[in-house]
Amino acid sequence: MGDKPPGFWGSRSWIGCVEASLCLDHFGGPQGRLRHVPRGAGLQGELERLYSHFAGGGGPVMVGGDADARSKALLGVCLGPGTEAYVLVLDPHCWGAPKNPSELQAAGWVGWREVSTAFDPNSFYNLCLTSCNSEKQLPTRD
Amino acid sequence: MSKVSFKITLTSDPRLPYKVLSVPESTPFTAVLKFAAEEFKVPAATSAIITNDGIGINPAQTAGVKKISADNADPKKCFSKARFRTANNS
Repeated sequence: MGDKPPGFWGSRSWIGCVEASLCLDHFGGPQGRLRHVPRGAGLQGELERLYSHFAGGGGPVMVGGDADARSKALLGVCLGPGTEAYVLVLDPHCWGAPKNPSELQAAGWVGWREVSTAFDPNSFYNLCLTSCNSEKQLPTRD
Repeated sequence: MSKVSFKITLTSDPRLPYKVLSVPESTPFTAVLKFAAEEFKVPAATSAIITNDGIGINPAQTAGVKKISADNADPKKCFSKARFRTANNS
């Protein structure tokens, strides 16, 4: 894509949500819009936006941080009574073909996490909100 | 020579400082990013510029890139990139 200097390919340098959004654009994938969450802000301020994103049919949200280097993918958000809030987190390192969703949950690859504990207040985060490609809708399950 | 102007905001700073840059259309965006990073005293290598509605800008483009439509060309934001490590190199 030309966004990196020669020598980047094959190196152990880091990439993040910005590069992911550029890849989506370059390879004709769904659109990825970026949101920056400054250090210390936490994701509380983004919950309404995430809720609107998923309620409007938005796709997975890629999440990358600096102090928190564990990449995550958000698949949903749940706003509980009071100030409770949860996000459905998928570990993108998940690989293989599970027999059923329960297997994924049991292995810890996907699960609901409380927002206040799932994110490090000492880290900034970049979110890449992907839009659904309406031409490739996934079949629904009854 | 046509010029384009950008208002670039450093969103990683809670004070949201900004700079207004005016460069020739043919200027590589790498130069815009480098200059903005120097002005904000942040590393260019870990910074990125996105449009106001969250579209990432490939620094390989020129400053006059037509992809940035008039309604989201200004202001833009400059912030430090986050990182994730893929399973292949973890």
